[in-house]
Amino acid sequence: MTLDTEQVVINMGPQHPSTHGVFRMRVTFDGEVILDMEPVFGYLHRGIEKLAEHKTYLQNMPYTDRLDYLASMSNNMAYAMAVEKLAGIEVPERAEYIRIIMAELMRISSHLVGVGALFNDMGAFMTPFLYMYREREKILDLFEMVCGQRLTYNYMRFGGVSHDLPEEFIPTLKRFIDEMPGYIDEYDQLLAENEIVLARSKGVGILPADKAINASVSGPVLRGSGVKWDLRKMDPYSIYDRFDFEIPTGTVGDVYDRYRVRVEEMRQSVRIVRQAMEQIPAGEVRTRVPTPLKPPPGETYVSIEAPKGELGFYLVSDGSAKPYRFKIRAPSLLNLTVLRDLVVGWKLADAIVTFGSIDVCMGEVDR
Amino acid sequence: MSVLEQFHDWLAVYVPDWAAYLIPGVVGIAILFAFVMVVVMYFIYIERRGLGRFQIRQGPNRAGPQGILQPIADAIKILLKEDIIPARGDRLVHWLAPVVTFVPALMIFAVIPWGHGAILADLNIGILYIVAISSLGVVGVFMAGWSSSNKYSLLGAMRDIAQMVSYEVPLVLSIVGVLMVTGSLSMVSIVEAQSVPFILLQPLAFIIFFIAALAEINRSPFDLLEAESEIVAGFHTEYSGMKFGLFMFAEYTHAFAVCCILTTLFLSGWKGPLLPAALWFMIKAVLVFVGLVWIRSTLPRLRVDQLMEFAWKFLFPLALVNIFVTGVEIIIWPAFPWWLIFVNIPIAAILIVLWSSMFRVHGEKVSLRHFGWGIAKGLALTLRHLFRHPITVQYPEQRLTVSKRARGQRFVRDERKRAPCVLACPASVDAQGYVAMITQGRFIEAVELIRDTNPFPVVCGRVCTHPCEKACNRGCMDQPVSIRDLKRFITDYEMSVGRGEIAPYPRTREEMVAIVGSGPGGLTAARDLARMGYGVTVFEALPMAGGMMAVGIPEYRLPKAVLQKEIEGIERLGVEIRLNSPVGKNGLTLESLQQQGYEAILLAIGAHDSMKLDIPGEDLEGVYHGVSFLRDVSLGKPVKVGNKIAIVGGGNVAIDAARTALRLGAKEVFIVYRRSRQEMPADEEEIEDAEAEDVKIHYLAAPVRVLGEGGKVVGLECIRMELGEPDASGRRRPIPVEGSEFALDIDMLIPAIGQATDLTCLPEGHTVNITRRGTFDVDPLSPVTNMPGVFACGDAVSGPATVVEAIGAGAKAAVAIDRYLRGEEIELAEEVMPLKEVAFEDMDISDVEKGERPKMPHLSVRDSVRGFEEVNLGFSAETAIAEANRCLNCGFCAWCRQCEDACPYGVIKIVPQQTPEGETGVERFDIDLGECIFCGLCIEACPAHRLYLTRIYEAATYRRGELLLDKESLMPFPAAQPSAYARPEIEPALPKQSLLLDRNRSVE
Repeated sequence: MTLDTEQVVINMGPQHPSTHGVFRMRVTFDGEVILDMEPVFGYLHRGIEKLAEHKTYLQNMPYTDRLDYLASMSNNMAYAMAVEKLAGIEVPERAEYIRIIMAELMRISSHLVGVGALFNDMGAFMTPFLYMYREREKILDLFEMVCGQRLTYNYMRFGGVSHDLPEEFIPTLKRFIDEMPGYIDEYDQLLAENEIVLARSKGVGILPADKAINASVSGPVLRGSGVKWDLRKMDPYSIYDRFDFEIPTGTVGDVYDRYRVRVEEMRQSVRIVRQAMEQIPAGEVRTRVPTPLKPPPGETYVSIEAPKGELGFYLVSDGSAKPYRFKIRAPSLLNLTVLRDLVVGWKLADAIVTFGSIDVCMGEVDR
Repeated sequence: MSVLEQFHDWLAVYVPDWAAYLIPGVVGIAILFAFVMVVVMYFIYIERRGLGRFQIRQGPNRAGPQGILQPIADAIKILLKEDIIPARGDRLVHWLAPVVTFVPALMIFAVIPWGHGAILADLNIGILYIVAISSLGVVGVFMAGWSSSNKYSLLGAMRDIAQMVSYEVPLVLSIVGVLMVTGSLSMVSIVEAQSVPFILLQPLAFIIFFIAALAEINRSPFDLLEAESEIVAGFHTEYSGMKFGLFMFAEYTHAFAVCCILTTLFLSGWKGPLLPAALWFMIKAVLVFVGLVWIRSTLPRLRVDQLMEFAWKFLFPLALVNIFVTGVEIIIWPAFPWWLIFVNIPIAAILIVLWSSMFRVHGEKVSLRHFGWGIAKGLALTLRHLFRHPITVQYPEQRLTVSKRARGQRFVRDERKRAPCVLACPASVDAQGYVAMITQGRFIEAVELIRDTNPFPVVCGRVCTHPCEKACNRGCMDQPVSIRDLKRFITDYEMSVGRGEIAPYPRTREEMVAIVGSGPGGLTAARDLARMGYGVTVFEALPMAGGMMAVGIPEYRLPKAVLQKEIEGIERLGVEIRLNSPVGKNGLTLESLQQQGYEAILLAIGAHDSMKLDIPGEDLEGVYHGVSFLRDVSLGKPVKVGNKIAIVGGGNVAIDAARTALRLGAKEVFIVYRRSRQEMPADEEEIEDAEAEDVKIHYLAAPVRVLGEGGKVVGLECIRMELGEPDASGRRRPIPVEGSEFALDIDMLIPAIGQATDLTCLPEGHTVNITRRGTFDVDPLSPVTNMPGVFACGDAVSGPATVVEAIGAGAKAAVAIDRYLRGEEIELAEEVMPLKEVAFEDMDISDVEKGERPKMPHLSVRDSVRGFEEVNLGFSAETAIAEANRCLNCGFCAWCRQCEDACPYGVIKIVPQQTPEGETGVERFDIDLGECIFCGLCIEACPAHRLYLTRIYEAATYRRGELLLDKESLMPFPAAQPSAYARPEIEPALPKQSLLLDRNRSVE
């Protein structure tokens, strides 16, 4: 007797619990095995790049919050740095330190979400996710202290940050920084050696280093593949050259490596924040900048190491108060391009976990 | 004998035999069904609550105490939900599937022994019955997956069959070990056989059974058939309402059944000391279930191939080995004594470790060598968290120093109060607004804000008599804010960076307006009319535009270049200025202007004639009237000054003339003034400056006679005065002191005792009403003369006044002309606008530090008297910002609309207060909260920090306990009474704060 089999095409997404927003995978299955996968995105397209051409430079700042909405501070910082370079604005020392603290806290927060969601995808019923959200809440409390917001911060300004740190910020931050390594140990106790986690992630979704580089992948996904590339070290922007930290890398480039890189990066970010907290000088937090800001005609590209990878802003000014061109290099989008190669030949459940390990934010992919 | 049998025996006496069998059966089933249902509902509650606590949440806690009624609420909800069947699904099978799944799970309970004799049916094949019945459930699941017409459902169903079939094998084989020891298939016998629980005697069988049972009831980590993150909801993706509820019930019934079976087989069932048997049974079953919840809270899910390999390659061989080992033990020790515990536990441990070291998942990739170690660590961590305080209850307790959030419309103010500086300004310049902008370094915007009402910020920044500073509330505390010097600073700043492009106002109206005189009043009216869209032409008699600003104020106070730049700016806005075009001469008359098409004419001719002293000798050579003197100097005419000059008068013109004379080379300059310094109308600073430059002032002296020699002035005879009763102007009247004449030795006399309007522009025999003082007689409320279409404003109406008063008059004239040309009532609303000022007493200044105003840097006296260079040098940016920060911000919203400009979405709107007199202030900020993204840019843009300082509204940022847009906190003093403008109908629309968000609520 021969079995009459057929390939099955399933549209996973845009409404699906594990698509991290509105991503859609059009997957062809042979049973549970993936024969082909076609990524479809654009469901969250809002035309931010075009909209930005009709807003003043400062009015665009809240829009950057809405790119990778899990890392608004980093988006703010990259955009502020781009405009500062375009207009030749100096940033006061204290503001630089505040920015570093915010960016690194943001990295921790973003990785907490990324890792927590990865384990949700892996079927751990919310527990790692909720444990990590507990710490993320503390970071959000810190952000709320400085800017009043918990998601879309809109905190950075051209020439600094919008407000100075409140008095109680540093003690709260210190408490958090002291506690955080212990919490990271807890996550490791729960997950790092769990046999089911190992079975689900080791050797799954391997991204070789050469392929990663060819695909312009960046951030933890690239470092998970063993490429030691981090803009904070390779092209130190802001004042990153003053801090002592390591770049964690993986070896194989599988889901497990990417997960470990994120956890280690959290530890490194804690180190950076601690140093920044100890060194932070007193002083101004914002250079006075004319409003509306009219940068001289010209163009610029500034990129930073955002939690998800290299986040770049390419701006063209025609001397008016609004950018002539506003282009975003979104790390999530470029990281997502390797997904098909990683999942073909693997099982349905692997596709979900691999996608989760890339940690994209659809707000940034589609903009 | 079981309870049911006793019941039967008792019944058999009264009813037929068949009924005696049937009735106890039905009653028993009914009781059991009800009992199982209630337990299952509370299993769901235990799972939700327990998972919550493992995850440091609270879990359901709202319905009833400790959320105990939650299962009932769930049941009610699920019964009321809509039932949906997919269009292409198989309706009948779709209906049947939940029933087919649910009934077998329920049937298992028939053979569960709850206590000694408490069993529905003690079948001698009890365990076989269970195995047979429980495997039926898979049919229901597959029916659901098949009939749903959904690929996820189908995948889930397929997974279910593979999983059920695979795990049934080790499950049954593990039971075999127990059966071998017991020698019976009856559940009651199995319990009775356990003097020592089989979990100790058959540990390996227990572990295999437990794991396989987890898979059988689809519990984590084997919950593949409804794996949410992969296949959405698996086989019940397309189920809703009570049919979904049945699936859920079936699942938990099954879980309860498995807990019961496990209790019976391995935990010695109902046996236990002290407590009733049924209670012991339930305690054990619930504990097993809590174990399941614990595992679910800790472990991720296996992949489908790993799941199969685990069943066939790990559990299946181990189960076989267990049977073998048990068989060997029974052969050696047929009684299976209790001390075999110490044999079987090590055997189980060794076997597991051995087997797992050989076990590979997916070929060779992951070793489960340390099987269980990582999982055990995870379990330990989640267990620890079970005893931690749930984080979700921390929120109401936490006292963050940030705000609470509230949304909705709030009213900004309910009284028409404004800062006193704004009210004091005749031109209504928003001093509070631009001073606040200076604190933020927004200098250019600040100048533009002034230009909105006052086209001459550069002039007023230098020579304004600053009534604003006299009104300033800060003056009640230490010294008023140097508002004028701040204005001077920002205009200097603007000049240093260059003023941007000035686009002309679009001409939107056909009418043309002629303005006679290019002084501050005339040009302000011209600018305002041009802004309204009229064609405007200004006729200036002199070769220089600017009126008294150009020819009255000397260079060292107001450089001509600066003034002309400002006037150029006005010209570029679309105002035509015709110089050397005196009206009333060369055929240019009011009539000819009207014939040329000018429908309205504004006479803003100022007061350029000097008043006469009316004393003997005034026509001698060397007597030069103040206004003409200053004008001639300004126009660059050659003016010869003497060595010793006397100036008569105490106004600014007198001081200007004195200082100008010094700069032209006079050796000695006297000012003769008939009252004392206190009454002197000139600015205090001006007097001080003049004295510093060595101008001598004779107070309480009046000229009596000019002494002449050969037609030239040689001296001035004066008389001493003393002050009598206050006169009509409120100043004390000077009375000559008899016989106190004295003479001053001078060679030039400049009388500067007053100015008059030159009315030569009017035609001969005109009918325009003129007052007794020689000014135009206009309507008290509007600048209308009795000649139709002819208006008058400025000094020509009020007599000599200040620049800023002329600007204010010009602005009002423009409004009046606009109304006239539109055919409306000309009457102006200004006089009936009862705006109140914010009083110093009403302000809270407790946190304001005292501080003096900075001194304006001067040229040294030596340098200054040498030429006409500007004496006051202006503030530096740092000084200006520091000085601006002294402002107490006493007014409300300055109505500058910066917030509206800053908003990326155009969401914030200032709603003016509508009164019968027009828009008289700001009533509130309307923010469309459907669109507001709370970015906070409006808060930053607000120069007066008005938005920032309010305390309730979450317009954007609500940081550090300081919230936004609340009327009470926006007012500088607390409102004692509820606002008359409050709108209670809006308040209920505000969402109530939820418990979790209310962080300021204290939990004592």
